[in-house]
Amino acid sequence: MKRDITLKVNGIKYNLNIETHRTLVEVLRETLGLTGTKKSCNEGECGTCTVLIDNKPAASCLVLAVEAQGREIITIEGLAEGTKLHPLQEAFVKHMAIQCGFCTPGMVMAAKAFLDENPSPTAAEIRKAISGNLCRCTGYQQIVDAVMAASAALRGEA
Amino acid sequence: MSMKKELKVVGKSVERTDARPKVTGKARYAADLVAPGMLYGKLLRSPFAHAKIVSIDTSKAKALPGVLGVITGRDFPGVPFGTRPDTRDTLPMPITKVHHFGEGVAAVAAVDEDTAEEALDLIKVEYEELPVVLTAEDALKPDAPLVNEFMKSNICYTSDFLFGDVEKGFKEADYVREETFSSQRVTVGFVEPHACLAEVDNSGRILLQGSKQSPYITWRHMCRALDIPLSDMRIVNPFVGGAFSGKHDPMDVDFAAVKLAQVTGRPVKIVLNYDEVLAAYRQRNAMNATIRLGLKKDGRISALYAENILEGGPISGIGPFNIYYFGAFLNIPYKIPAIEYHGKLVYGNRAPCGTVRGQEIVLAQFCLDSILHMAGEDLGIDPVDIRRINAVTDNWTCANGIKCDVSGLPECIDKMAAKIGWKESRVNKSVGRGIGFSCASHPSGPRLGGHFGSAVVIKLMEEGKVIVTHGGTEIGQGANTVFCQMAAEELGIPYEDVMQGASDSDTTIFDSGMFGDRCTYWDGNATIAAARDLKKQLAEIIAPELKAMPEEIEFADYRVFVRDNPERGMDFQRAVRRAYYEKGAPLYGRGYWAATDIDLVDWKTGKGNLAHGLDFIATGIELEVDRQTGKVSLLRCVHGDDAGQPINPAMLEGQVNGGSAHMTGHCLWEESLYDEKGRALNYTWRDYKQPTAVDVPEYFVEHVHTYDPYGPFGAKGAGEASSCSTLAAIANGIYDAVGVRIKDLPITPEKILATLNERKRDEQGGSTGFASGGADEAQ
Ligand code: FES
Ligand code: FES
Repeated sequence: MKRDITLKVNGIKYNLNIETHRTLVEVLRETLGLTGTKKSCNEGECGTCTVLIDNKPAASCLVLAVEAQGREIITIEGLAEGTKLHPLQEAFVKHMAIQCGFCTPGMVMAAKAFLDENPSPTAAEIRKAISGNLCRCTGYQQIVDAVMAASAALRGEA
Repeated sequence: MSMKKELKVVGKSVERTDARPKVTGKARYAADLVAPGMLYGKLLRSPFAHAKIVSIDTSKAKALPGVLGVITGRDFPGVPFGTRPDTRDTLPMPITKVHHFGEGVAAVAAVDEDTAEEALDLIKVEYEELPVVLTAEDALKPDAPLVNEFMKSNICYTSDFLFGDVEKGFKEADYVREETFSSQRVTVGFVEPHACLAEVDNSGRILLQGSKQSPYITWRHMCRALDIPLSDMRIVNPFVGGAFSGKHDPMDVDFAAVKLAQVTGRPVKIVLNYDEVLAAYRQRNAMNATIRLGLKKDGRISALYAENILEGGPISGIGPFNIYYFGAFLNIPYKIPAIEYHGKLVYGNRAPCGTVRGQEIVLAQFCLDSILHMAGEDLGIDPVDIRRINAVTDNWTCANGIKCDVSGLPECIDKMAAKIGWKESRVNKSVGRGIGFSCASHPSGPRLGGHFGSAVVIKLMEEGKVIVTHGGTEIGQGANTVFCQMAAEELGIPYEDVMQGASDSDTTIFDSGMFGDRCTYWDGNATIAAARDLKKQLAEIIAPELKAMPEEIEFADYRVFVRDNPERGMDFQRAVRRAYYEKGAPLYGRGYWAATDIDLVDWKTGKGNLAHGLDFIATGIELEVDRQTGKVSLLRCVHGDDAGQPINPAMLEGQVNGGSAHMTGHCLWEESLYDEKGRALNYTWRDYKQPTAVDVPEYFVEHVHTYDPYGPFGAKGAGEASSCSTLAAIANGIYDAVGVRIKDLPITPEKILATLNERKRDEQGGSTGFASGGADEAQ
């Protein structure tokens, strides 16, 4: 069954006619071509599909696109302003928190939601906040360092 | 290669070439690719681990509207492929029988995923179940069913060697210890599932863009099994979301996409879901090893005897190399004058193996560093000292012929032990806390058979910037970045002026693969060679104007000048313009490198110097064991790491930390489980847990700079040694914390608790059945 919906993604409104069973990650990637959001497990376990829905992190593989109507969706593509990276992105680049990069978009979005809630975290709090995002490459150390550095930058301390 | 001089770009933690596309979501991975008219492919998977395929009826699926193609193993020529001529045991898709749970038996291409899914339900496969082989023990039973139809036995490959006088070594030993060790099946665990997009052009030429670690291996094997010449297939590499040796070979996914593209005449994309990867794709071989170690009173190792049987699933893949590798790397990082080894790789009906990050050195080192710890304790030698006493030093030739030119291992051990605070930790040892150690060595890319070189082309554009195109593959390890750094350094131009070219078999000479810490070393040397070739061409054009001979021309600081008279020169860009505008000369530097002076080792007999650039690591892990629950918390981990001259220190740290974190799961809890019929049990990430940020310790890397005589800028390969040193460091740390020695991986809380409880019972019963250190041993 198809339905007309309006999705607001990264500040842009899209009128779509989609099957009701399609998940948000599918619509983002396949219909809107926003392939920055990744998909791996399709069951809420890996975090690669993390986006922000009304500023809260969400596994977009567990959300139906129709449920996301009328909400503010931010994906990795919506973080930078033009070529100016968000401080979290800057920090990921600077601290080598990226290797293969497949976990990176989800990791950055999870970290963004977390720092919005907790601007002055400890390393342990950061680890907990990103523990729903798998990374097989980095060992997480440089990701934790990057989020820590970004929190300082966002507080205007760096 | 190059003399030591002040480095401008190499040795600096410059930004990764791929950092921005990746952090903004612009990087395109295989699953992100689309092509006009593209169809979606899906595979039907076997519910049995071992069964005869009696018949496959695809007629109903073919008739479903929206389905454009359905294929099975019979659509391929029936030509098997394999790493070696004597191990060609793998078909693109099975024809007569299935060999493991989840094996792809048919594939469909349809206009969308839902239709493809529906079509799979309409395919009718009639199976006849066969008895299964699950373990090495099963495989070697006299009446065991044969797993692989191309082989006459379940023994896939053997490796046996004897170097030095082992008998004498044990006779002269003051202390001999023998232990058995075993390990479980674990998944490789890259986060990006297998995916590819295949197309066929008007002439019938295939274009494959897949998530492949070593496209050359994929290319060769695929063309063999498709029975086409290499020139009929073009490979282009998109971004790859991790591989760790799990994406070398072509998979059924790749074959199915290509065949469906041929059958339908449309581009076909197949993207797996992760449960398919966990159920049916690459895992690490299960180990069954016995190690006997002889030592002198002073702690020096006098001889080693080892047996090992690896169970590696129904196909060989790169497994034959790994049964050799296990034995080969028992020869190093410690000085062992005599060594005997008997290894067997056997087939079984669990998921196919091959290898995983660190290769089977990971398992060998777990055994060796565990037994070394036990021996040291019995001899009353401190665990740091016993490693220091045996550590390989400069110009050491191992019993098997591996030659180590430069070893920073002694310094790695010292730096690591100081940083982790080993001495201090002995003063006030807190209950349940412990520190464990292990060392490891890894070569900078072994020489394998076939085409084994690395090649780089550097194109110099008229604006003075260059494009580096190499045959390696960026899989996250940072290959692109280090080659751009090296090119900038050698050409004397800014790093920002070096761009990374596309990895495309039409324009790139693919090298033999991304494995074994190979790429920095091999492709790095090729990069230097290409840059030198380019400089030579430019020097020839510019020299007359500078009134000098081409050999006198230097390149540095964005200038081209006469070596002995630096004033006489011009800026780089002007020189390039001279070439383009006045001579009409396009400039391409071309370079290759292959270590032709090392041995092509026979994996069956193991003698020879298989690689240059042995890198070293010494790892210390501080941990805590909860005596009530048996849970292990990893607190801090320090690696002393000798990667020669680090090319990009921060990136190197990421490699070291990542390899180590990967193995924490392998050591403590990860396991691919099967039922008695060989059906996978825990093939979702809900049930198969990989380490998350809260599971791993805080990491510290202490760089030990050495200078490798053959490596680019003195660099050695790096990244995989930490995988090799982590298992034993954790196991030894647990022993140090609570006196429990588990030699059967994973070291789960249940196993720890069982031993602790047993000890409690013994204590209560008044027995003194354990050694003075309060040590217990459990299989
Ligand atoms: S794809 Fe959504 S959590 Fe894994
Ligand atoms: S960078 Fe590869 S999975 Fe995180």
